[in-house]
Amino acid sequence: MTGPHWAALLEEAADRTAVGPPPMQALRVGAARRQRHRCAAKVACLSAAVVLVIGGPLLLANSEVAPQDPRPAAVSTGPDGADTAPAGTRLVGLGRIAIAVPQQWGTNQTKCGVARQDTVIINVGGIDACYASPSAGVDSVELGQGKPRFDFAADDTLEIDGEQAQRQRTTCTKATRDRVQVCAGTVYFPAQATWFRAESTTSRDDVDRTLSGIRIELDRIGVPTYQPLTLNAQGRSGDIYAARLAEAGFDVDIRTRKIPAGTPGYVLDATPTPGTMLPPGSTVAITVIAEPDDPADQVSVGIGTDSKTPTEQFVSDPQIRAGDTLLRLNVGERIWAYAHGRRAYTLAGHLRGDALAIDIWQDGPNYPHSWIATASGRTTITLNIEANGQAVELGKVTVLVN
Amino acid sequence: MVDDDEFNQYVALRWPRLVRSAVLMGCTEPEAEDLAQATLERCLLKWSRLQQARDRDAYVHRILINILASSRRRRWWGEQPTRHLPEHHSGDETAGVDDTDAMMRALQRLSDDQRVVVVLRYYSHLSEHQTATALGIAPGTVKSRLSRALRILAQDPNLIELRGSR
Repeated sequence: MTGPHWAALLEEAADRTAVGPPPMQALRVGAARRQRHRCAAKVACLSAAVVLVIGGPLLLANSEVAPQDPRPAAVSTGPDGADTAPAGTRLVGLGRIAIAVPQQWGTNQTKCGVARQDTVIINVGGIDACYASPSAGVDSVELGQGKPRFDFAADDTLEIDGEQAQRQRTTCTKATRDRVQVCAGTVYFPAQATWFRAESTTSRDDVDRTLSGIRIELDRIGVPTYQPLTLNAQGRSGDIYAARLAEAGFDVDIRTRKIPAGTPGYVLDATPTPGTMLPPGSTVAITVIAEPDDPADQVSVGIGTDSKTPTEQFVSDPQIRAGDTLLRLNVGERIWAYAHGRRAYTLAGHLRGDALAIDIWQDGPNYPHSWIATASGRTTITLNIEANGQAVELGKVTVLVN
Repeated sequence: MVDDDEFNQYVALRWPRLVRSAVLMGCTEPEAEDLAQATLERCLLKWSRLQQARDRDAYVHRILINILASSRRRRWWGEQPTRHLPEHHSGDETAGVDDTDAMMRALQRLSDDQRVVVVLRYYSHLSEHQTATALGIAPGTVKSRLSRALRILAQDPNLIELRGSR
């Protein structure tokens, strides 16, 4: 059977259902009731009213409030007439669930996981193991996919633009002399596994006001996050993330970048960044670590010294490979090379010149590629690894000893 | 203020098909009317955005599917809990299998996901992309679900009899 045949069979089957005229009055009353319910769920929505016209008389949805302009907050439209963020705000979202935040808010403006200024927090991987106390007067909202934070518990269920959601009520810590009060609340969409956690060191109302900006987007989809996928999946994260982007409705452009000793396939970044709202079919470019071309790509090297001059204390992998770095040391100062990645254990340094001698501390962490400046002069250190019985040069550094 | 005429016109045109879609998806007739009404109530609340949306029908059906899914999760309709879709009451069950009964029975053999995709594509006449939008899935997933559903329907014994006549 073909498509038209199935269509004809379904039409016949459906036509057996007698359908009366649409219940217009009941429909409008029901919509008005939903508007009241939606206002009750949004603390910031204190004076909105939907004016529905039924024939002659006006019907106010919120009869406790004097009639006001029923139109929603000004919504700027794009060139194709599509609905965009309210004026003065920008949209950030995941899937079709977005939140309108003030235009001036930053993104990931945090330290030690704590917001330092008004900010959206999204796609954060590992957090530095440090401590930062919250600053007064800062609002933030964090978006994520998967399960919400470990301390989430649903206090209420609600509906936002037709989507079922769970709300953890806004609660505040106690303010002390040394610590500002922190208020937080969460909205979680179980069907979409997407959550929004707003925090404020200003007030509980600010948390509620932030969360009231959540909406369902009709024409755009938020770019999904790739953290903590990269932490968990490492080299498979590129394939998994590309599949998630395609599943979300985006075209995917995969680019590669060489990172010595990097795990091939690991996601480095995505453009546009996670949280950006785009029309379906838009292209998202992701950069993953490239497969190594040769053994030299599989290891990352560096050089350190105990010089008291900061600019002489470290030479990076790219600098070593470029080969044009000149370090200045004093007699008696030490210099060492280190590596990580595949074949790092075969690292060796070959000297040309008389200014350096091998450090005889055999228990040292960098023996035998650790040296001491013993005499004035110039020495070049060439760093190699061994692969398949052959020496593979990685780069060189020239040391000038005073 | 909601544009009265346009919304009324939209409802008048779409109401019968929305109700019948819901029946094809497994609702009883009263359930289907409630579902269609709930859908249009939500559409009225965001009518200004729907008017500007590129794909109004896809989003209206998305609302309908979401409400249907949540009502099934909550058993909102007050029916006895059941794992299977409600039977479509065709009246006289001893009357023999005619085309429409055959179709309804065949639909009942599909999973919820498969049934919805068949109804959206062949009854609501949404395109593959519109169906994907309505269901919140990728177009490729629409294609694969539809393909599996049509394979099951093609092997349905009640529908096999109809093949000779079509």
